Amino acid sequence: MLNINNLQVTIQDEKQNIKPILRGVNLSIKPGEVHAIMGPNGSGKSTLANVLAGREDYHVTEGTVALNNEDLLLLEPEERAARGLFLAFQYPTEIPGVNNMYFLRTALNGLRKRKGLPPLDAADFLMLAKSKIKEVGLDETFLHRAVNEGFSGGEKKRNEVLQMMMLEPSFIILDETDSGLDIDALQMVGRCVNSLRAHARMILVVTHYQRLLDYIQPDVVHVMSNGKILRSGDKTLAHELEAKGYGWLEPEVKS
Amino acid sequence: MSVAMTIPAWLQKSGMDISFPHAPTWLNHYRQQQRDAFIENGLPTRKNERWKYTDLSFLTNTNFSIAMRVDADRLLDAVHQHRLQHGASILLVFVNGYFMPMLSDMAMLPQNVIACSMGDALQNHTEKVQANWMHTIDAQHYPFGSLNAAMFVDGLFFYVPDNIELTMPIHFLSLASGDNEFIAHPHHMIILGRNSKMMLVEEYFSWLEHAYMMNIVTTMVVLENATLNHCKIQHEGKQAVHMAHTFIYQKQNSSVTFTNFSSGSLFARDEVVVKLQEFGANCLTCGFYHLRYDNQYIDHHIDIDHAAPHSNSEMLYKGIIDKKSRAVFNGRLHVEKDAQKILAYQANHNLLLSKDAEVYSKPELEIYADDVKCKHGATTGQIDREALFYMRSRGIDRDDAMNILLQGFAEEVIKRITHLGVKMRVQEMMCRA
Repeated sequence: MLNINNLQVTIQDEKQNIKPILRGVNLSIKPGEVHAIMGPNGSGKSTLANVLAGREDYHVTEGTVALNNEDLLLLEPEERAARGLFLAFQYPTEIPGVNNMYFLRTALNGLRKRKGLPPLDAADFLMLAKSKIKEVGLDETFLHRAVNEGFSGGEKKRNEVLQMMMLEPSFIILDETDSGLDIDALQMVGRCVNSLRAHARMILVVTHYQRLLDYIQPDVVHVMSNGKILRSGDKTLAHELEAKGYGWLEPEVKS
Repeated sequence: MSVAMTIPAWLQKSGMDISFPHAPTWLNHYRQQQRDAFIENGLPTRKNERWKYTDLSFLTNTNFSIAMRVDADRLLDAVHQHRLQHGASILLVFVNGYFMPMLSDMAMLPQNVIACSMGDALQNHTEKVQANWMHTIDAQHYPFGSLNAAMFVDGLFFYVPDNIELTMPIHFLSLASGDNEFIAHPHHMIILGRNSKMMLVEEYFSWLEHAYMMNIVTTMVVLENATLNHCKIQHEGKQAVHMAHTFIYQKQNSSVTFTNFSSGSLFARDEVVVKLQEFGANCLTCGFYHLRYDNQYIDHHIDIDHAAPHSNSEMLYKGIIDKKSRAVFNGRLHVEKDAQKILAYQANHNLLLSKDAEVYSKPELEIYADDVKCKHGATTGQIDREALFYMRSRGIDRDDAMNILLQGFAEEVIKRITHLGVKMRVQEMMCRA
């Protein structure tokens, strides 16, 4: 269970000006639910995703976030990961010199250790990685390359999905994973996310477009604008947005 | 003020006129000449461009005595622990600058290869020594090199005749031991014959907590078509002074790879001088340094001289600088007038881990030929916070993520080590945060 209550967040820009980004977000996700957040550029969607994952650049001024009744904001990013939180990044980072497989294995065995499970040995890990990498449509050679280094935009997104499939998190946030993807890749993301849909798992899809939601049917759709959730509804809200754009909601911003 | 005044009293007193037992006349003459040159020039001050970032004032506050031989038996265990893993090796042990055949393992050394002390070499292989002797060390550029030449009493003579391929690595292990604060001046000579091939692992290690000084000169002559793969690992004690001069002379179509890993000592200065004397000689140098405690100083001066056409060279040095420490990189590339068709590359990349860490990076290119391709670059930065967050968000805790990133930064240099045992030794030593 995720409970976000009146979350307010600011960021300091290069000129040291403090700029509010989230202006009181309220959101609850129950186990088994898939939620989508849509909204125009600059509305705060990605900020919300990053604040949940624990990025340091943001300053929480007000509000609370509870994941399974625990104060998420007090936890380090690695502790949040250990509680099952996973963010698929909008712009995955390149890490030169760090082997992708080594990175994945360190992450997976780190999480297993925290759960009191024995580490996977090299052979078992390799078998698992090889089967998962096939599912995301990457060649096995990507396991032996440096993390994301020289990957195309689409390959980076597939690598994010690979990590998600390997780590099997219980709270998944997809931050515009669909942007820059072709139809095949989009279908792959949909297929992988759907394969993880389970009664105990929470999924939050941040997206600009309704397209991805054809593959991942959300239980709840939220519209975010100017740091607030303006409206929530079922999946028909996404279709309505696709047809009308965000403009028709603007009066609600002003009121 | 006379320049000799810059020479600390202990050094003047310790009598720089140590004689080499049974030295031939030419050597005695050479030593005298180097001694005079050293005294005339004195120790460099920071007004000297080459020593601008080097603070030698600690030398006046110490009192190093001449290094003594130690009992070999005490060191058997330490030597045993330091054997290279993953395959056999030929081991040549030096303690406090003295060759220790008792601790060495030369069982697998081919019969016609010579490995002995400089003293033995001067008695039994005089012509070979004299023919390859480097006749002058410029006391102004390399004052400690001159000091070494004036004072050395031991060193390695290693001679590989033509057409020999040494299949196992030569592991040169230098240890420091004993209670007193000493200075040692080993003087080594390594000759690799035509078409011959070898891997040399030059390792410095000590667990001593007190100060001592290694002042080393190594001359390497790499003859036609010979291939030398040289890996140096410097992990001296935490209070040690490591002053090293490596002069590499390369003949036609010879190939040298020199890789340096430095993490030990309080003060280290590594001078590598490469002379690509003949057509087609190639030299790749690279290095990795990790400074990890307050007041540590590690300095690399690499000097590559292209004196002949179609010679290629590379310098790739990277370093991690932590705490209140200081690193210096000075890479000098010199292409002489008639040395055409040259490819040269120079790069220095540094990672600062603390706000008190300092790095001075100085690339120098002097090119007098016109058909030359040279590239160079230097960067200094901090740990990539995005990469750190990315890894932590996958459940890797902060310290582990840092270590993985540091290893990733070092990987570009470490991956050049071909021998697994050497690679493991370097990883153990270099990548602990």
